[in-house]
Amino acid sequence: MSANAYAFIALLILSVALAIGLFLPLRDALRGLLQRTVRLPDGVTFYLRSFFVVLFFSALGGALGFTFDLKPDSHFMEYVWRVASGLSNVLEQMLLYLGGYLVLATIILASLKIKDDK
Amino acid sequence: MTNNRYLIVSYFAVGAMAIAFAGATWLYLRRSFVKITQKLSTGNLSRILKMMFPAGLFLPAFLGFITVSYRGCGKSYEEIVKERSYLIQKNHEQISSILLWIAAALLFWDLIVVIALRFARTSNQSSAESPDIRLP
Repeated sequence: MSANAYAFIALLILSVALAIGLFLPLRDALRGLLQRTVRLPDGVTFYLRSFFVVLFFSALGGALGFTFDLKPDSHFMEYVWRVASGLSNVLEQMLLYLGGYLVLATIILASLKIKDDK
Repeated sequence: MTNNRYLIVSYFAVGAMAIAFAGATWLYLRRSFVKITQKLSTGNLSRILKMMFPAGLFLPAFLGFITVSYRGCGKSYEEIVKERSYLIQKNHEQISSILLWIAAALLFWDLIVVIALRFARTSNQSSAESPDIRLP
C-alpha cells in the first residue's frame, strides 16, 4: 500500500473518531431534550438515530471528498499537513450538518414545547 | 485490470453502494418511523409517509451518485480512462456525494416528522373527539 493510502486510512479513522466523540457526549442531553418535547419513545429513537447517521455520514462524506495526491518522495510532514487539511474538510461538513440539526432541534423545541406550555 | 474495465466495474459498484447506504439507513430507521406514523394517524397521511420514506432516502442517494461528472473540464473519454488515480478520485467523490445527500435527506425527514407531530398535537388539543390521534 502506498503512503497516500495510509494517510487516507488515517483520515478515515480520525473522522469516525470525531463523529463518535461528538455523538457520545451529546447523546444523553439530546435524549433528555427529546423526551421532554417529543414525548413519544419512538420519536426519541428516530431523532437520536437520525442524529447519529447525519453525524457519521457527514464525517465520512467529508473524508471521502478529499483526495491524497502527494508524490511518493514527499516528506512525512507533508502527509501530516495533508491529513490536517482533510480533517478541516471533515470538520466543515460536520459543522454544516450539525448546524442543520441544531436548527431542527430549535424548531422541535419551539413548535412542540410552546404548545404544551400554554 | 485495464482502466476501461476498472471504470465500468467501479461505476456500477458505487451505484450498488448508493443503494446499500440508503437501504441500511432505511432499515436502521424504519421501525421507529413506522411507529411514529402509526401513532400520528391511521388514515392516508400515515400510509403516504410510510411509502414516501424509502423513496425519500433512495432517490437522494441516487441523485448523489449521478451528480458527480467524470467529464470535468471537457475531458474526452480517452483522457478520463488514462489515469487510474483520476478514476479512484471520482469514485471517492461519488461516495462522498451519496453520503452527504442521504444526510441532507434525513434532516428533511426529521423536519417532516416535526411538522406531522405538531399537526397531530394541534388536532388533538383542538378537538376532544379525535380517536385516531393518541399522543402521550
